[in-house]
Order: sequence, then C-alpha cells, then structure tokens
Amino acid sequence: MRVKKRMIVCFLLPCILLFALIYLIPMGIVFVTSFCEWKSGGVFHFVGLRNYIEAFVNDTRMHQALKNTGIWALLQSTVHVGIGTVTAFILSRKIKGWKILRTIFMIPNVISAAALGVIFLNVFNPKYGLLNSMISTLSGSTFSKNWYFDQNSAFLTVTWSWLLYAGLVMILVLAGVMSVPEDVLEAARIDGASGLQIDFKIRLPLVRTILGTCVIISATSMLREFELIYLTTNGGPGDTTLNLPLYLYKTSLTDNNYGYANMMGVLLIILGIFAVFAINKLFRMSESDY
Amino acid sequence: MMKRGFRKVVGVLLIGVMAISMLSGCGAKNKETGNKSNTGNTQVSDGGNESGKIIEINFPTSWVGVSSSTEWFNDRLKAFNEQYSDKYKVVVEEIAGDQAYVDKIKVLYSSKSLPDVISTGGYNLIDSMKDQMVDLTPYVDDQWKKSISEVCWDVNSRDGSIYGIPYSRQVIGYFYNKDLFEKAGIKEPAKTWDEFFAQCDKLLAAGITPVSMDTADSGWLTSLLLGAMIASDDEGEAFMNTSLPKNYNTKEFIDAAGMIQKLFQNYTTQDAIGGKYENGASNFFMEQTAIIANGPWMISDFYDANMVEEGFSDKIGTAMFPGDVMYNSGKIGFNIASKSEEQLKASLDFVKFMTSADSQLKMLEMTGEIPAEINVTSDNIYPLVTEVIENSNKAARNINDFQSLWYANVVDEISIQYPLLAQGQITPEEFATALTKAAEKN
Repeated sequence: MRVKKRMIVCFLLPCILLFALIYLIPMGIVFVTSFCEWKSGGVFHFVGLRNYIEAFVNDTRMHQALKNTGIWALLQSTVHVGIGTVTAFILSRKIKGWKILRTIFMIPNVISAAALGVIFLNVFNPKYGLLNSMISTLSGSTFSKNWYFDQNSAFLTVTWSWLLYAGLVMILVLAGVMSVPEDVLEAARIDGASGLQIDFKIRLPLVRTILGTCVIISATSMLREFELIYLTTNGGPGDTTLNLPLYLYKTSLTDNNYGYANMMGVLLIILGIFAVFAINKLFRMSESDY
Repeated sequence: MMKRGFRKVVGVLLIGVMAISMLSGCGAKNKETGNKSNTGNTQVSDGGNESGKIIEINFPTSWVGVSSSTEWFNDRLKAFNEQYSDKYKVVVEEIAGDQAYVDKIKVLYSSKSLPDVISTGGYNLIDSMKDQMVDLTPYVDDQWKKSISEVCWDVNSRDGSIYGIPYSRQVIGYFYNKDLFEKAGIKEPAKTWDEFFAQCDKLLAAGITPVSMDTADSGWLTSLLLGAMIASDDEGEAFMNTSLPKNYNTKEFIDAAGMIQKLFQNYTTQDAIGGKYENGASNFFMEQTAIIANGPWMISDFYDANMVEEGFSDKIGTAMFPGDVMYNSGKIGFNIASKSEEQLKASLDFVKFMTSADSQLKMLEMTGEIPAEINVTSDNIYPLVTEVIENSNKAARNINDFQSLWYANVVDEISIQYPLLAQGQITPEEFATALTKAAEKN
C-alpha cells in the first residue's frame, strides 16, 4: 500500500512541479509585487498597501472597471445561464429539428474571439452595418447609430457580444436534463404532474449542481474577458466599457506600471476565489441528489 | 516478485519520460536559431558557414503582410543574407501591426530580454527603454553623422547620446482630391484654418464629405490634423516640438481640440468615430472624402490598381496644412540592445546595411518614404513624392509627430477620449485634462 502511495506521488510530481513553475511561483511574485511600486526600468520598492488604497479611494477608472466587471459577471451568471437553461429544457423535449438547433446554438462558441470581434464591428458599423440597415429598411427612413462608440449604447452593445450566446450552458444543462432517470419522471407522471411541473419541480432541482457549474464558468469567464472588448471598443468611449482585465493590460503595457497592474491581478484572483466559493455554497455543490 | 520489480521499472521509466517530455516541451529552444522568443511566425534567414561560426541576431519586425514596407524589407534582408552569408544569421520574428509590435517589445523589456535589433516604425520607445539599449554614439563617425539630416539624429538622441540609427524622415502634409475640390468650386488648398473650414462647407454643399478621420489605434489621421492645428502659432509649434509634454491644458491645445470636435461633428464620415486608419483611407480611395492627412508612404497606394480606380493618382494633389505647417522631422530609427560584443558587432553591421544609402534609395523608390540621408534622391519615384518633399522645403512651421513625442499612454488615451469629444460628451477642456492626467501617470 505504501509503495502504491509513493507511486501516486511520483506520477503527480511532474504535474505539481509544472504547476508550481507556471502558476504558483508567478502568482507568488504577482502577490508580493502588488505591494511594491514597480514601474518601467525594473527597479521596485515596497510601498505597503498604497496601490490598494489608491485603487479603492482615488482611482475612478478602477471603480468603473470594477463596476463593469461586476455587472457583467452578474448578468452572465443570471441572464446568460437562464437563456442556456431555457433553451436546454426546450430542446430536451426533442422537438422537430432539435439536433440542428442544438448545433446552430453552439456555433458562436466555436468561432474565435478575434473573428467574432470583426463580425460584431461590421454588424454594428454606423455606416454600412447590418443592424442600422435593417432598422432603416423596417422604419422606412435612414437610421444611423454608432452602437459601439455612443456612450449611451456602448455598454449594452458590448454586453450583446456574449450575453445571448449560451451554447456551452445549453450543452451542459441538456446533458444533465437528459440523464435524469426515467423512473423518477415516470413516478411524477403517475402522480399527475404536468410537463411544466416536471420541468420545474423534478428536472430543474436535479440539475442543480450542473447549473452551479454553469454559473461558475459564466461568472468567472467575465473575470477574464478581454479579447472582445479590446477588439471592439478598447474600453471606450472614455471608460464606459472598461473591465478589470483590460485595465490591467493597459496599466501594465501602456502605463508600464507593473506593481499597480499586479495589484489588479491579485484582486482578480480574490474575486475569482470568492465567486467560486459563494456559488458553491449557493448551489450546495457538494451535496448529491441521487 | 519479478513482476513487481518489472512494474516498478516501467513506472519509473514512464515518470521519467513524462517529466522529460513535459519539461523539454516547455523549454524548447531552437538550437539552430537560438531564437529566444517563440511567439509569432519565425522565419530564419541564414547562409553558408565558411568560418565555422555564424553569429545570430534577433530582429522582430512589423514589416510583414500588408505593411507598405514589407517588399522593401524582404528585398533588403535577402541582399544582406547574400552579402554576409558566411558571418551572420538574422532570426526574423514576424509581428503583424505596429501596436502589437510595440506591446511585444514592452513585454520583452520588462523581462530584460530585448531583441538585438528593434525598429518600431516611428513609435518612441527610447525614453522608456534606453537603459537596456546600446548607446550608439561611439559607433557613429563624423562622416556618417554629416550624411544624415540633423533632425533625424535629434529625434534619436537623448542627452547627447545616440540610441537610434535613422533611415527615414517624417514628412507629412495632406492629400486632396482635385476633382472633388473642383466640383465644390475650390481652386487651391486653404492657407488658414478659417479658410479650411469654409472649404469644408463648400464641399458639404456639393454633397461631398470633406475629411477622412479616425479614432482607433491612436487616431492617426485625426491626430495629424490636431497636431497641425496646435502648431498654428509659435507656442503651438514649440509644443509640437517638445518631447514628452505633461501639460495639455494650454490655449493652443484646447483651441485645436475644439476644431477637431467641429470636424467630427460636421465634416467627416459616420464611421470615423471608432474607425481605424483603414476606414479613413478606404473612404478617400473610394472618393467618398476629399481630404486625408498622411505621409508620402501612402502614395504607392494611389497607383495600386487593387486599391483604387485607374487614374486615381492623377486626381490627387498635395498640400501643406493651413499656416504652412508640415510634419518635418526625424523618425525613430533602428535601436540595438545586443548583450555581447560579437552580437553587437553583428547588429551594427545589420543596421548599417539596412540604413545605408542604397537601402534608403530602395525605400524611397519602393515605398515613397523620405530618406534620412540628405543626398539620397532618385528620378525613379512617384511625382507626388517629389511634391511632398517640395512642400516640406517651403513649410513655415516644421513640427514633429505625436507618436514620437508624446507618452505611449497619452497616445492610447487619445483614442478612447476622441469618441467622447466627437459626440460632445466632453468639452475640449476636459479632453485636454484627460490627456494631462494620463501624462502625469508617467
């Protein structure tokens, strides 16, 4: 038995070493340097909590980035997961053409963010964009709106880039719904439950842990969302669509303020861990229903 | 017992193989090329080896793909390889786009692993990275120094030390469509900004959108107009020749920002806000706008049948900005950051080759870029290039461009503040304050 344990450790060792080299040590460096002033030139010195105080007290751009990140994470874990779940429940009834619909719904998830960015820029283009053309055709008069760069519409337009495309959530929930034991459903039917009642009172509670997983995936995806914002609005106009990862990138690569950027990195890690724990608790992920 | 021993051996062997393959996968280093960076497309240029030792140098470049200098660079690289095949090997890393290039160099700088040779295509990285760059002053002799325009050395020097070898001059005015001007009843380019706006009104009245503008990626087209507007008086001209200014709350800057706001709101295309240089250029090529500010490197596109209609170049005129203002300055050249003596020598030979009179002549003929060397001229260039050079000789005010002068984060800030300025969501004063705040972060 002892030999077996040693073998397990030996097999795990390369992965643990790699994890330490690639994640743990850099994370340690990020954490330590988040308490330092470290700008271009490589010299850094300890400044205590100054970066954190600056971020929470004076830096209005940071407040906006945090607010946007929070709103997007919330929307993604509610509306986005909701859309995916509803779609999964509809498809689980195996309506005509459900397999084709399932594939179509997944398409945005298999297109690269770079390609999606270009597609959306063209769809929302104020001069020749698809959306403005459609509105013009329907209304019968020329319609022009700069969706991405008007301060009033930029946030919603960027949100559109990911909110509705819940293919991954749909696939996961659909797999869960399909695997609910038939005898449970049959018992419910014998008891006189309607289709909707079965969905809400039997199937939905039984896919609770899968929903929890989807919420974790969706919420944390917003803590690292970068490409689509960078490729479309670059955080603008002003800081209307700025989020924490993009602000981190700009602080690091444009301002060359590595200490401050690493402070944001630490905040992102803390937010991620908090989100995972909170969602785990909320969805009682450790409890089994079967 | 035997079976258990065999299992143990297989287990240990498997672990060994796993560890070696994973670690060697991560630390893969091209022994042939010695390439330090594994991102992007890497193309290795080399030649035969007679002496037994070929020195390798790294050169990441954005002169790839659709860049107007790609053809020139490939030609020069091939010629260098032929000449130095027994001595040097240039490891070329292709990075598409100037901004991506600059970002990559910043990452390499922060990890103290700058490549041997850098050429940013105009972006100023000298101020932020000169501690890791080689001071080239001892390698530039008097003859070399005299052969190149003084303004080119100025922009590549700091405190009397040379950090960049120039190869090109920035000469920028604006191009206009003569046919569209004629249609609007305009006889010649404006002498003052008031006249410029009056001409914009005439163009609008004739159903023509006057100016190509943009806001993304530093808003190059728009910022060129902004800089020229700032330089309308002596103070403004001085500002546009000041390196790394921190205060943008000046009268001339705010007035210029006000004019830019007016241009955005009345005289440009719908896609200018949020648009890139390519959108602005495309509008000009399709004769949807009458004016575009840019340098002579754009001229080769006027003759390119893939981009414009036949005869388009005949319709194009060149002009100085109102007030006889021209961008007429040195351009940031090649920087060297080699760490060993032998690599430094190789890098110097490469840079000397790339900035030689012959290479500059080829650049002038192939791209229309104005050489840094005063005596380099050619009869084999587009007539419009000659016009631009003549304009620069007549200019009353000569200024430097914002990408060379201003902090990188100010240049980035411009592109996120332009849409707000354009839509009247901030005032010119607030625009100036936003840039000042960004500059103060440095």
